[in-house]
Amino acid sequence: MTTIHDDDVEARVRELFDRQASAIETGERIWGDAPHATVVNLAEHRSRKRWIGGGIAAFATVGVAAAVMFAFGVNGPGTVKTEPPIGSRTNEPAVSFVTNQVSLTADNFVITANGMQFTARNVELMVHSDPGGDDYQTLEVEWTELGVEQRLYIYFASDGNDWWATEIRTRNGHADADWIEYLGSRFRTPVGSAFTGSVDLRPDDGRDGRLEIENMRLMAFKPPAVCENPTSRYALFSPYSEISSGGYTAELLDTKTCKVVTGNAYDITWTAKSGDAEFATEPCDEGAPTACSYAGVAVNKNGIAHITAKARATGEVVAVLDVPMRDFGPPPVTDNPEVVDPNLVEVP
Amino acid sequence: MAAIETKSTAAASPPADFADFYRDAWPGAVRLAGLLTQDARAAEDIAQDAFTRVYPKWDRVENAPAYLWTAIVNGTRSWQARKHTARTKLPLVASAATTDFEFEMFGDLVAALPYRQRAVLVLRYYADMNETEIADALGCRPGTVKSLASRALASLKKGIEQ
Repeated sequence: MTTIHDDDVEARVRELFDRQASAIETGERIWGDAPHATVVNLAEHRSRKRWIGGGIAAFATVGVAAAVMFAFGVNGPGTVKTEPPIGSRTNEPAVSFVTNQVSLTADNFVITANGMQFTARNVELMVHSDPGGDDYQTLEVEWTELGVEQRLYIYFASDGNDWWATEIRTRNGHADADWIEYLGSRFRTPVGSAFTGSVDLRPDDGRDGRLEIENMRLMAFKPPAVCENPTSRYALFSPYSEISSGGYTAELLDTKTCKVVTGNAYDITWTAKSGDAEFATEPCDEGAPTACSYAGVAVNKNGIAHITAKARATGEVVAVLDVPMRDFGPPPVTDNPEVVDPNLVEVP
Repeated sequence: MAAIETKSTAAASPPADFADFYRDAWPGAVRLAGLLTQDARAAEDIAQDAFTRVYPKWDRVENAPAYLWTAIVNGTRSWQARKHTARTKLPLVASAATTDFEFEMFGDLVAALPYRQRAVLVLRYYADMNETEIADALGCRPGTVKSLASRALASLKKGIEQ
């Protein structure tokens, strides 16, 4: 048996990839040469950004905020000012942006940019989070209003004890959209608690713009909802509230500790409850064995992914989870819905 | 290690239009898809599909090469989930230093790795991505990237030694 050093293996990997890449003939391609398309249905909206799924804001009343666990008090650095009610908008419906990781609800919300005011009301929102990890995650809200793209992105950090926002961005209200940035740490709050207060921010670089949020309740690094009011000993958790083609994880949590179950006692399987998809699964591969499954997903038709955790010894089902499944959808509606790019042809 | 062409364009001024981006990034995209799947036939389809996903967002995407990589990684992941007939092996450029036979066998070992282990190797040793970039592309934590790489190299080492 030949003994190989670790450095040798790495060197062989590099050489293999170099030699394979050099041998792949690619030729020259011109956009529009060959049929490469997807049918463009301009009447539908693209459902997600990149590969990250997210929840859709569905709540419409302030009463929903009661479901968000919050505590009062602001500690640490922050530039929040508690303002009197903003203008005459207090009769407007509340705003709610909620994902598995972050909740933002408020009585009023306005982005002022390019002389226009964006309220994110009566528009279709795309709300999602980059679930990140233990020290990073985001809240990303996107929509079209007043004929231009608008976004609210909040970036969060945590040291395990507290969480806080490190940066907020919105769009500048122009057709060729650019960012307006609100830099600096804000909303520092203990993990497990929500920040409450009103927000009135202007860009640090003196650009035209303003972000106002009245009576905001903001919580990042939320514990999984399945641990909040558990109805059973175990629960399946996936960081994404919607999946499309890509890679996703599902973890079996002990709802008493809200930790992933360790060991090899459980099998997690993925199937299409409705719609059509293919799943290639493997362990999550994070060191010691845990009840965690990673699935490469290919969605062929919108539907529901059904995830099941069973005890290996008895076959007993201990937890199930259904997650909406969406095919990577068509482009968003344009201002001129009759225009179809001539390079995009229908796949036969 | 030569960086993938799409990565190098991220530092330079972006091409004037999508057609220029497509022409310039196509070879690197095919190579990345080929290495991730270790299948010569799948590479062009996956690369083309990735560009098709980038095109509608061209005016809004901030970092087109990074978005393209992500689309390619996702595409190869979806491809992995589907059932396939026998793999179409990638060709090898001849080398005076090692025999093609040895490297073909080594290529088989790499192709037999679980997808994410193989993807970590490709993104680290071919695309020169750092741990955070790899974690972002695969949708996992940086710690998982280390674990995947370690297991992949250990499997390959065992395969070579046997």
